[in-house]
Amino acid sequence: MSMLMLALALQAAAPTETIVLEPNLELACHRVIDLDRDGLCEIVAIGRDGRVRTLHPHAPGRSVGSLALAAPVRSLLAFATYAETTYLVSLSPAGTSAYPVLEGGEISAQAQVWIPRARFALRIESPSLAPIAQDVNLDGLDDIVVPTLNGVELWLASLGTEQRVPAFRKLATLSVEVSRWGSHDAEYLSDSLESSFSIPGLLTRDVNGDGRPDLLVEQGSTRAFHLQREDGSFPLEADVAVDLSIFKDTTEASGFALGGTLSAGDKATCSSRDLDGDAIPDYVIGHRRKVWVFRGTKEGPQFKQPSAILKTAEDITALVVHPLDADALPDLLLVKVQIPTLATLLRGLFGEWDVQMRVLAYSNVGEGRFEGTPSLSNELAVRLPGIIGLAKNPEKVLERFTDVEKEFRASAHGDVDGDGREDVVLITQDKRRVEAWLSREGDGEAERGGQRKLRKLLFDEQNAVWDLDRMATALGDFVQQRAALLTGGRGADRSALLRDPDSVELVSMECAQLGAAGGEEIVLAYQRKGEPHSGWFEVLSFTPETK
Amino acid sequence: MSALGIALAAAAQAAAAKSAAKPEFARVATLAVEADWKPVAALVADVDGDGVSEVVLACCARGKSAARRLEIWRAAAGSYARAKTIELTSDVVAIATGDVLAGNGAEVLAFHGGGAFALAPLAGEARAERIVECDFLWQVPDPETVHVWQDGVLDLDLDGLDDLVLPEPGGFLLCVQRRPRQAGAFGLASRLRVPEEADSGGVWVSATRREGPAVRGRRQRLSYTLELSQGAEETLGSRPAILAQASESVSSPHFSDWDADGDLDLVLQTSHHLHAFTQERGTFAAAAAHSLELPVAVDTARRLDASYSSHAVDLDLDRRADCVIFAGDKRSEDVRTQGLFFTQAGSKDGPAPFGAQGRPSSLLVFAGFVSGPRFVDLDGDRYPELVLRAVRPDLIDQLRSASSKAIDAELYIYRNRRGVFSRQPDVTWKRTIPLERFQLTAEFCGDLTGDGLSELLARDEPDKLRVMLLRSQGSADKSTWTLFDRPLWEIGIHEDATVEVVPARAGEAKPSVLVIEPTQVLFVRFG
Repeated sequence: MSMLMLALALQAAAPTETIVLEPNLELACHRVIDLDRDGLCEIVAIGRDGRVRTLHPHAPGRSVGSLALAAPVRSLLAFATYAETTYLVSLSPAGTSAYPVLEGGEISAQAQVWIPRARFALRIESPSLAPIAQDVNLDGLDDIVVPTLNGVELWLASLGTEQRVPAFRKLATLSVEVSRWGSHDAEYLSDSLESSFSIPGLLTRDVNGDGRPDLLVEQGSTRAFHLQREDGSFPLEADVAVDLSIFKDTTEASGFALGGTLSAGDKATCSSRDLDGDAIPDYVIGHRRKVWVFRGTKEGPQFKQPSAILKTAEDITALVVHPLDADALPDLLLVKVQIPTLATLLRGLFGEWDVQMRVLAYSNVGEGRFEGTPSLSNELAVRLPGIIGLAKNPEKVLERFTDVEKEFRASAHGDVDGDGREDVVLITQDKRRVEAWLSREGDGEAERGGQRKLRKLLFDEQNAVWDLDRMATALGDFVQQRAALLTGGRGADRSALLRDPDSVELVSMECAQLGAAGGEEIVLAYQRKGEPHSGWFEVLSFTPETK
Repeated sequence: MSALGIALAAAAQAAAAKSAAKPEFARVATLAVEADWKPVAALVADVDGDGVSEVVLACCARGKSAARRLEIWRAAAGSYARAKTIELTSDVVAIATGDVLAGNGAEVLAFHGGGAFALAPLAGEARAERIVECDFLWQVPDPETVHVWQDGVLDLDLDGLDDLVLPEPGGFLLCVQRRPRQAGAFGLASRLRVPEEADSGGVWVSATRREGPAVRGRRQRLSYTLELSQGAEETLGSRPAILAQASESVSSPHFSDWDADGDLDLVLQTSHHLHAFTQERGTFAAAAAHSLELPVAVDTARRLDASYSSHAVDLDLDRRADCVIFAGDKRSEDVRTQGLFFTQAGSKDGPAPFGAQGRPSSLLVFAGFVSGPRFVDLDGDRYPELVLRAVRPDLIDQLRSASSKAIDAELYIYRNRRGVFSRQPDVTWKRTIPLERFQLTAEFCGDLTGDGLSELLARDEPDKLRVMLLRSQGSADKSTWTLFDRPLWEIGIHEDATVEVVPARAGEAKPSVLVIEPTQVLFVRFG
């Protein structure tokens, strides 16, 4: 396989160096990673046909490797390091295999079969990098997680002092919420048959404050907690399990009634956050008009002794635990959305109509309790355009929000000038240039929070009316604020032209140390528009005089 | 009331009285499933070859066991009794019925991610036989239901044998049955790839394989949903990263004779083109024989258009498929919909049916939004009539629903006279339907009375299913049609029931109806 490498001066006035790397395969995914642990990153290109090649941007003509995955559309991949050797780990119908990285960053074509029973058989369009190798119990070794339709298999890794290759033992298949979606209608020529699925990873969180991540399992209305032991193991049986369906407010369900409060369904909801500042998460459970608060303990969660029980006059649409007042403790926010009356809906056929919301904030008073009466309250209205007009030209409304989305600028962080400090790289809104802001003394001290933005949004203006203009403006402001936060509001220190966005699409951008000299370089992945299987890389470095 | 109206009303009453005197107009068999099971799908087929149809029920276990099973119900002593129960393996995604194995009767087809199996359910030892291997589009089973893929069983080469249409990501495997089997193969297999098109405008509505599931929008008839999966609220911890995901799709397949050679060709549409894959003696060309630019591209605006749909149908019986596109008229100040008719016979310049300029052969304009347009032959002359529902926002009458909590829905019938549609609807049928969580469903199901005209099966109240009489007055082309308000027959059903019309099969004179209720299935046979 040949590799085309070109050094281009894209802009005479700005002597930015760009290296173009053609992987010569239909690109499915890639990873910029230091494979051979020499402190410099390589680019691993993975083709849709299963070919895996390592590209060295600063070694002209070098593309190494001959690995071709046997089942490319059923392969999940990850990189993991054991005993100072990096492996490309593969889950496929043949089980879990590992391809060791050889000298020079070449990935061996010879697989080591590690766990024959840990198979992945679903079709995923093309080989994909996924977090299948992750240190679940934080013991320093990457464990293997295998997504299946029945849940996620957890295989814990161990490595003896004399061993070079890890051993794995299966802990359990843990339930996760697998999402499935499909369209089967074939009545019209304009119909489309569709199928999608998504399998999430394991939910982990330290729930007893011992610093070790614990396993959380959600299955239907049951929440189960497997606390990690000192030796890094997890018990097969959950230490604590709670069925949320036992939390019932006996007030009669209001149901879906025009003019009534929109209820969050008739299932209890559960939110978790550290309410009392002891670094152990606590739990807030809501059902209809009732809210229970349970404090977590060093023995784990408990759902027997509520620290507080609140009751409201109407059903609750949503329950959020979030800091709203001046102190650091999260407060309780209850949202009630009124279903429009029939008269409002009919009026709304031809003209603007309002959806009324009531928001109530209960201050956290410590020890897992909230004030009995709301400290803040407000009535808000979301003003919507006429239903007929909306149905006739929905794209006009959609454009308002997609236009805002276009203002978001892709960003990356890295030390591009080699001064040891992290800089910020942003793509311009028109996607024609990449700009860099070099870090200076005092950077990073700006307020990066935003925890109180929710309070400002919901409570600062009494009886506020939010129409589409105001929503779009608020989103636009958020975009501008985000860019200002990243750049400190000053002009860019470096700038370089990108490929013409009318003909090519920038797929990804990241910073990485690829060459021995200077700072980190910017790795850009492109594809030609309308050709989803095309793909190549460009490595861009800012020379000191580039402006 | 006019003299004609009086005459029609009298005729309707007479027909109703006649049907009342004939209790056999419809026979209803109740198939009550066991309390621990819930019926989720039903099919009708003669699976034992005795000439009498059986009912195949797919049921899911109530509770958390995620078990699913098939129940075969057989005619017995004037009703139906369960003859056999077969557990469904966990990998089965969809089912259908078809005669795909030698021997008497049809089989049950079970589709899974790797292909299809056939099962003779009432054979002594019900054993699944692999029919075909493929990358079936729907690879992930739903433990709470079984989908029906009966659109995938049809006679593609018109030789009387059932053939299979298996959707795959970005294409199809078409299997034309041959008997006797040669080397164990089902028959001729053609694997087609649908040309890929840039789909940048589609991210908001209707997933395609290039749009990951992170942003999901969907247009389904008159409703839209938009889901931003990144917006999921934290419950017990930070959301974990996705380990595996896929989003795959393929255009809906439609089979119609495109080139008047007497067999069925595959017609489908992508964002900007209509493609025709022609058949030659059971084999389909891998590449489209015709790829024509659509005069109405499926961009974001069109995907959001409540009235938009397109259809492939032979309107003038010249054995060449025509194309009809319904789309909202964006240039009109009023809400109105255009029906654009592109016929191969009417295309004067450029490739048919769109021609060089993309001008329609004829045009109909409808006030308001249009939904559920269907082309169906109502009078037996083989020319398909146009039946559609309309919602007219300009009707001031609708405001009365503020007090009655009801809304008016209209059904229109446009007659097809030798390939030409009436400019105005020949029949307008107005119903008042409950406003909350219900919409009118109405479908012409075939001739149930023997008068040559199809009857309308209507569900204008959630708990009632009715057969409405379509009556012709006058002679031949000058006849007028009337749809009577008084039902010819009606039955009470569960308000959460789903209703399926089962077309009449070979040897059957009339269609039947399946009503799938939460605890039972009603099998309605007419005549």
